[in-house]
Formats: sequence, C-alpha cells, structure tokens
Amino acid sequence: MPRLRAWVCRLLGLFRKTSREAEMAEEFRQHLDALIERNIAAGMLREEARNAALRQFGGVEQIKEAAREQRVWMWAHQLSQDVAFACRLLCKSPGFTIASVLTLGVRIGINVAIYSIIHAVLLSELPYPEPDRLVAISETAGDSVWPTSYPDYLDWKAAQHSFDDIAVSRRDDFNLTGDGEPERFSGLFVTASYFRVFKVPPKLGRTFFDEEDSGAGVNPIILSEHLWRSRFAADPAIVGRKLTLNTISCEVVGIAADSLSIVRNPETARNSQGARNADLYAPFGFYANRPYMHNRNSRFGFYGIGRLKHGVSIEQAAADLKVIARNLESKYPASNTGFGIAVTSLRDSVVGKYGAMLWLLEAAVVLVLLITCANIGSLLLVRTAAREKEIAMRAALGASRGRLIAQLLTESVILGLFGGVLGCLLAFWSKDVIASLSPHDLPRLQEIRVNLPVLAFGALITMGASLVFGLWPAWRLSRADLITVSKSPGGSHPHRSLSVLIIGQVAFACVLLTSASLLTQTFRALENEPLGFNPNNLLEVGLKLPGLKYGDGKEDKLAAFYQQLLEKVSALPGVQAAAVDDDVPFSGFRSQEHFAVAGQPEPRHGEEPLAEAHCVSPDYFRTMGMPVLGGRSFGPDDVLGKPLVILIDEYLAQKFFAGPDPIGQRLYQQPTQADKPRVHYTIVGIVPSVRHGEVGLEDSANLLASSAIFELADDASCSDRRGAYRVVAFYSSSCSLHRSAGTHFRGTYHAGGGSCERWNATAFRHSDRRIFAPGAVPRRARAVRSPCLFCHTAHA
Amino acid sequence: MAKEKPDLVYGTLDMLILKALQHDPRHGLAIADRIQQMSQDILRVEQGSLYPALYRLEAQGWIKAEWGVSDNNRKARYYKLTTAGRKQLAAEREHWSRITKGINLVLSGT
Repeated sequence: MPRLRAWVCRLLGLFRKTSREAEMAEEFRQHLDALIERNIAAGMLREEARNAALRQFGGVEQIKEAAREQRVWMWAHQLSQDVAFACRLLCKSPGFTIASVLTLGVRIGINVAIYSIIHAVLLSELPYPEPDRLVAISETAGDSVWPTSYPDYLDWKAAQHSFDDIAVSRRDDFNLTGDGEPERFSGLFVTASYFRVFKVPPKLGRTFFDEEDSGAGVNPIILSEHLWRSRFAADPAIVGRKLTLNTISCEVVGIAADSLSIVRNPETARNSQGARNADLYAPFGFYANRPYMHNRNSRFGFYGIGRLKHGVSIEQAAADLKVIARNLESKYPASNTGFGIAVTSLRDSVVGKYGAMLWLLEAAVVLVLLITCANIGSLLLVRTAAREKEIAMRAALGASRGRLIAQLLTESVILGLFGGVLGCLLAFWSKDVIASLSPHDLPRLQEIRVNLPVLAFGALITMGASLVFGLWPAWRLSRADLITVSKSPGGSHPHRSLSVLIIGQVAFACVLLTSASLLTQTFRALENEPLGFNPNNLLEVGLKLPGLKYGDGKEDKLAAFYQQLLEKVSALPGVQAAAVDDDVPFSGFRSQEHFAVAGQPEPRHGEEPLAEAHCVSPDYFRTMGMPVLGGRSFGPDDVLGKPLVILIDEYLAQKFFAGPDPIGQRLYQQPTQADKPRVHYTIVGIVPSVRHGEVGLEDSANLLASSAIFELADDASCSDRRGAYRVVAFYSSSCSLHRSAGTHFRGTYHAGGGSCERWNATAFRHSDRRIFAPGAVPRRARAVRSPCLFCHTAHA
Repeated sequence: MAKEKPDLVYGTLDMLILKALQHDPRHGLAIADRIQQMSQDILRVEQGSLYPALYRLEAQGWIKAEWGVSDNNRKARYYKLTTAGRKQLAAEREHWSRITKGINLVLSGT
C-alpha cells in the first residue's frame, strides 16, 4: 500500500513538476536565510554570514538534483529530456545519423529476415493437432535410409502397438485431361489412414475409406486446396465431379487442407521439377494390382508416417518396430535381411539438413551485425570524445554518473531504434525475394512471414545492438572529470578504446572472411568438379505418357511418339541435339538395377552389384556433351530384335574389368521371375563417369545400356515408370531458347499429337539448386558408393 | 560529485528523521538541529542528505509537508509524521534495537 501510494505521489509529482520545483527552491532559500540569520546572530557580518551559510548548506544544485531523484518519477521526465536532447544532437550531424541508421537497418534487416525463415522452418510447430506425436517411419539398411515396401507397411500396421495409426504415401505424377487445358500435377498416393494420422479434417467432402486402399468402388481422388482454388476457382460443387487422370476416370470426393502438403514425400522434395507440394491425393486402390503393391522387395518410394499413442516416446516406438523388423527378417529373409526400421520426429524429417544450415547463416549475420556495432561504436566514441568538456561540466553541475550514462545510451538506443524499424521494414519487403532465393526444397517456404515473434526478435537484437555499441562510449565518457578535461586543450583522445574496438572488428571480420572463403572454395570445387557431362546450354523437360495409351504391348507407339518428338525438338531454332533419358542427372530420381558380369563368378543372391540404369536415345551422348571414350555409341542398327547392346561408364569399367578390355564383354540381369531367361547385354562403348545425385558423391558406375527404350517390362519398378522420360536438348549459346523454351516445347508437343502434358522446361544448370546448398557437403562424403546402369530405349 | 563521509550509520537517517518528528512537526533546519541536539552533538545531519531523505520519506507517505510559519516569523515547510510513518518508526526502532543488541553481544563477548 505505501508502495502504491509512493508511485501515485511520484506520478502526480511528474505533472506538478513546476510547482514542486518552485517549492523546493523556496524551501532551500528559507533554510539558507535561517542559517544566515543564525550566523548573524552569532556575530558575523552579513556577507560573511551568507558565505558561511552557503558552505554549511553545501552545493544547492547538487542537493536539488539528489532530492529530485528521490521525489518524482524522475526517470520518465529524464527520459523525455534525454530523447529530445539526443534527437537534437543526431539532427545536428545528419551524415553520421543517416549512415549509422542505414548500416544498422540493413544488418538488422538481414538478421530479422533470416530469423523469419528460422522461425517458420525450424521453430514453429507443424500445423497439426499434437504435432509432437507425429513421426516419420522409414526402413534402414546399414547407414542408409530406404523407403519401405507396401507389404512391409501392412505388416507394421498389423503388428505395431505404439501408434494410434500409421500410413504411407508414394508420389506420382498425374495428367489431367478432358477438362480444359491438359495439365500435369504432382500427386501422392496415400492410405486412408494418412488423413487420420495428421488429424486434419477435409475442407470439403470426405477423406478416403479404408477399403479404398485396395481398390473398392469408384476411383476417388482428393484435391489439394491450392489446386482447387487455382484450377477450379474454389468451386463449391466440386465434390462428386468426374475428372480424367492418367486416362482413368476419377471422382473428386474431397478437398484436403493445404497444411497437409507441408510434409512432402522425400522424393517430391528431391525432384527439382516436382518440387511443388502435392496437388492431389489418390488412394492406393488406384494401382492396387500393380506388382509393387505386392512385392516386398519393391522399396520404391513408400514413405511412412505415424501418430504415436499418448505417452509413447519415439524410442519406445522404435523398439516396438525393431521387434517387428526382426520378425520380418526371419520370415522373409530374401527381401528383408539387413533391413531395420527408423523412427524420427516428423518435424526433424521435414526440416532435414536445413536446421544446421539456417543456424549457421543466422550466426554469420549476427557476426556481421556485431561488426557493424563495433563500427558505429567507434564512430560514437570519436564523436563523444569531442563532448568530454560538456559531459564533465554536467557532472560538475550535479549529474550523477548513472544519469550521464543513461543520457548517452539514450542516443545510441534512438539510433538503434531507427535502424531496427528500418530493418524490420526491409525484412518485410524482402521476404519474398529471400524466399525465392532459398533452395526449392526448403520446407514451409510459404509460411515465412514477419510476424509478432519475428518482430520481437528484431526488437531484441535492436536493443542488444544499441547496448553493444552504446555502452562502451557512454561508460568511458561518463568517467570524464572536469579537472583533467579542462586542462587538456582538445579533450583526451580515446586511443585505447578505439584500438580495442578495431581489434574486435578485425577479429570478427577474420572469422567471417575465413568461413566465407571456405564455403566459397567448397562451392567452387563443387562447381568445377567434373560432372561427366556439359551442363551448359542444356534444357530438360519432364513428361509422362499415359500408361493405357502407351503401356504394355504398345512400345511401338511409345517409340514412335518419342522419335517424332525428338525430330520436332531437334528442328527447333537453336537446338543442336536432343535426346531422351528416363533419369537425367540431378533429376532427383535414380533407378538402380542389379547386374552381373558374364564369365565372372556369379554373385550370391542378394549381393549382386548395383548400377544406375538409364534408358537413353542414341543422340544422348552428343546432347549431353559426353565423349565416347572407347568403342562406339548407339547406332541406327541397335534396334529391337538385334543383340542388346549397352555402354558403361569408366568407373564400372575399372571396377569390374580391371584386366580385360570391357568392350565386347557381356553383362546380364537376373530375371525377376524364375521361369524367364537371363537377359544379356553386350558392352559396345565406354563413356565418362557421370554425376547423378549431389555433386561430391563418390563415383557411380554408369551402365549405358542400349536395349529397347521400354524394355525393362518385367521389372516392377519400370512398369510404373514406363512412359516417364526427360527430354534434354542442347542449344547454341547465342540462342534465347531457354527463355521461350516452355512455349516452344509445348507447341512442339501439341503438334506432335500429345494432348496430356504441360511442359516446364528449365535451363539445366538452374534446375538443380542442390548444387548450391552448402549443407549438403558433409553428407555427400558419407554417401554410399553405388554403380549405375543406363538402358537405351530405341527399339520398337 | 564525491559523496561526503556520512556521520551516520548508513540507513539510519530515515529513522532519526522520523524520530525527530515524533511529537511535533518541524521544518528542515529544525529537524537537523533536533537530531544534533538529541545526540548531544555527536550526530550532524548534512543538508545534502537531509533533503533527499525528506523527499524520499514524503514519497513513501511516512511524512507529510505543509507550509507554515516558523518561530521567528519565517515561512517554512513543516514536516509531520503520518500514521504510516509512526508504524514505520516503531518497526525501524524494533529492528535497530535487535541489531544493536546483536552487535553489542558480539563486541562484549570474549
């Protein structure tokens, strides 16, 4: 109660300031007069009595100041005085003020912008109910992470005790036709449980039923909210509408909230062209009779998620799944030996490698901010050195040290505040630019915004920075003492403080420069690392033809289509060569095949070497700028019916044919079904090793197989991939093709009779931003060394 | 602004001022005189500490000030103990006697 009263008194005192000042002056005057009278009474002369009284009383102004500090809400009054004074001072030197505010503004802006990314990507919870219970589930073999297979998933689901529910998804592309302009969408096959795991209700309609996992009823699909808005103008009557996807008639049963597409299927995230979030969802029943739905060995793109039961930790769930994995191992040794199950929190799996990277970036910009602080601090120090006399005078007139520091700090805080406001504005304006510069697979990019927590961070670093650059000059200056200062003609010089600041600045700058140059060097090394092909002036376009029209038994149609397409693309102005490949390097997809060398000891089952397999057209090597190092390239005679021929890369040649010349030797593939014969390929040429995934990976052996393009029909993975190819075109550098590529290619495609594709051509070099991601560097060193296999596709 | 060495034990000035005002309202000079007189000239209160202390006590609500006329017909600001001030004085006396008792016990020990 007395405390409250004291506050009220002080507050009132603030408003009654003038009368209180007058009262105080009057009281002191009366006191002095009384002392003088007393002295006169003691026998002094008037003048003498007055001097004695003044001595007795002490410094009137100092006592007043000390009394004032006790009396009112002095700080508020002082603050307003200080602010006004500081503003006047800053206005007097506009050059210094503007320069400081601009530098600070830019640095604080960068800090806030980076933090806004960190906040959106790393710190904010996933927008689902109880997000901490969500986990990602995948298989592991040794150190590497694998997708799972559908039968494995079904077994997990049946045997697990730790989850409310688990689900898998698998990405695929969908061609929408028969409804306005044909368009290609990235989609996800999901189990009905997928939506239950996230606990996100549909915007409209329903989610899938469990029986739709195995193909009951019509082909239901669920559209994402963004697709519904962009393509269907948020039509409220969309539920029940029929759409034709991949030539199959489907019925829209619901609209899924966009928050679901934050969690990308890892393959969607990796694929540079398919970096879009899921546009639509289809149940696994859609492809229920595909071989990979039943083959335990087909670990092709199934990624699991789960919702932990209440009170179950990730470790407990992992232990639970470990038991299941061991049971599967003993039950299905052929497919499951060596495979474990990994459980990670969904947030970690969404953030992936970007956690460390973003913090590193933030540390770097904080360092830059500190350097700026040192800069402004030394400027302030020089400026305030000129004010030593003024300060010393104020101290002599009764200003306490804390009061002086407060006043000087007010100046730097005002500078900082202007900088902070400017910085937050900059961050707000630049967030779109920064988002567009970020790696395309950075999750949750759309959620980046300058919101309250980000602004709070901005305020925090602004205050921090102001204190950092303001405190030292203020503290130093407040020690100024009238006698020494007034004796020296120009005031003392802040040599020592300045040199300490400069040393700090140089030290920080060294740290920054060193790390920056290390990063740049790594980046240059990665850029200069031979890719095995020439990425300049290359365009690539992905497309997929509908399986019904071009699928099993219709390889001739497919080959004719591509032949025609390549002719048209080659005829485009500026295009010098064009080819198709089912997996161009850096496309994000890598299909690996087992193989064995004829005439060498047969590898044990399950230990066959793996190679990247590519199906390419004859002009591929010319288009990609890959010289044929030995033997020959594919020729017009390599057609279906003739012996199957392949090219291999240098790495594979060295690894498997150390002694003899590989040309003329044969490789074979074990048939997937026991009653089929082995398929043999004759090696006709060697090409340089090609980087397929991230630069920096160890060499992979490439096997360039000239078999029919669409030849791998009995393989479960290929039957699904059939018709999905990438066209690469090499164009002359003077040509502006890359700008109009989309239009050109699209026109060509439509002219070629295709009616179900939208093309997104990208200049090759820019299509893969992962090359630029420094966070990827250390992982690459750990990457598994895997050979690779190319399959030529030209026979019809 | 060097601080003078206080004659008083730190923190006791407030209590002494409250005590000086226990019976009658007094103005600043009279309070200083009163303390000096009561302490038989051992304690001298400097104006430099007196007025800040008075203003502090006033802000705390322990004393109240109003203008009056002094004995020699001079205008003066008279300070008066409030009820809260009396309670505070009692509390401080109690505290002080406990502390001094303790200190004395220590000093008179062997």
